[in-house]
Amino acid sequence: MRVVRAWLGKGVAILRSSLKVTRSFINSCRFLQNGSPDDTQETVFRLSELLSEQNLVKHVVKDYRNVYPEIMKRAARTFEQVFGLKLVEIDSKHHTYILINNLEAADRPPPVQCPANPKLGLLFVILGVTFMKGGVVRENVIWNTLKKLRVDSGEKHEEFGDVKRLVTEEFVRQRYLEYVRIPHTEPMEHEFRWGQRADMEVSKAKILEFMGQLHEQDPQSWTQQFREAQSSSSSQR
Amino acid sequence: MISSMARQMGDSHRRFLQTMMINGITDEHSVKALYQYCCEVNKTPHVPDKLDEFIDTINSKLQAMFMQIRKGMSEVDGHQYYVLVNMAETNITRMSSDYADNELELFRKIVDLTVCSENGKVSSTDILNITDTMTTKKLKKSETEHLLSRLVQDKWLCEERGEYTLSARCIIEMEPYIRTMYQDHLKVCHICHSLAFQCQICENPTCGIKIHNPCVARYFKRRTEPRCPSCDDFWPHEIPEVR
Repeated sequence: MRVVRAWLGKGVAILRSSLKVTRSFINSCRFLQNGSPDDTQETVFRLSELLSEQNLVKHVVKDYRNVYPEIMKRAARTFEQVFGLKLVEIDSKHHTYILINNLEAADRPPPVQCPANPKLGLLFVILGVTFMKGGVVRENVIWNTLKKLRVDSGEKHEEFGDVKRLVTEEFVRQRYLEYVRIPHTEPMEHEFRWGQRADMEVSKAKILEFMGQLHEQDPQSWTQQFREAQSSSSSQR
Repeated sequence: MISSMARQMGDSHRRFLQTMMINGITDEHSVKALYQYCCEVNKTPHVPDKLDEFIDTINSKLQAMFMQIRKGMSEVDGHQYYVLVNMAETNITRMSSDYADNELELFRKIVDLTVCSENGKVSSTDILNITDTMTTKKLKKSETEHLLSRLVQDKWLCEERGEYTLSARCIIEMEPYIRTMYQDHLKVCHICHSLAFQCQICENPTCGIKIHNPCVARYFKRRTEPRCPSCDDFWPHEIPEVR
């Protein structure tokens, strides 16, 4: 009987911790707009933040390290059932998670004005150029493209601040981009690729649509990219 | 009551909740439109006057996480707004990645100043002075000014001519905290019974009831001789227009 009670107590503790974990995620959520930065386009909301086990264990799960997997499982269930969010582990070594939207994209935008995130517009341009160039692009192509859009990586930008830091550090840390050294280059050069998180969250079809608007071209005219976008959206969910 | 509490959450509820999370505060008109949208997108029947039950269903699931969707009136325009509120006061809420610990401390001090103020307004000078009493890492003048502009942008505070007031979002979010912390010093509106910061006060020293500006507008609408609803003395303040 004592054993049963001890297990019941542990169960309640696990449940309480899982609720704490869920709340801590929600509190640290940054809400990003996935879609064209243009307000009139359909906006699919993606709620995501990278959170590592270290962070969670330190703040939330103090006494329950050994039941951490069970807690995460229950937290994931709460996310799905209450918020319609899917908890995805993108780094099993460091136990890093993101939250992505589990709800189907709506056929039209919501009637509520939501705050836009200009950084995403910038990210979209970079992802778009990278995608159009076959998935890898030398950094100077990106810097030149941004310069044409009056975002100079060498200067402090009114909206984005230190552009180089935003693109090569923050976007990389958030796993939207990869910024990799090209070996044997003097002076040292890097190339950009899509990050793991972009692969999961960003629809290639949307990127193609965005590029179509930018260049005033039909997305289907880029046959190879169009084919890749079609096959990727079927595998993304 | 029990049947509505037991209603299951569907994708329409989840979509509604996600949008409520994205916006710190949403006006009643938009909330009603959002409710309709979420039902239609999810192909569930939309019953316009069942909005409260719809929100109750969501709240029943949020309760365990000390969160609620709450409704409140703006002291400025008198309209109703909905806010997703955190109700627990623990270390976890301080993980909110929007503000650092010392910024949150100063924010709490600003709330303190406002609650104890006469007219619900706090000057930027008062705020700068109070940084001296901070127990966490003190904020410099420029940092304080930057924080204040962010607080206004994020709709926690409103600013007009160098004076700061608590926004509708702030009051709705922090009402339980304020009621608990300031039990004896609270000003409550005589008409709607919510917390009152920007309000008119009866000049009768034995009466002293408070009424929100929008509540004054509604209560005294079209009355030729406005009189205090409590002590019947002449109400000496300017009666605002109903918005």
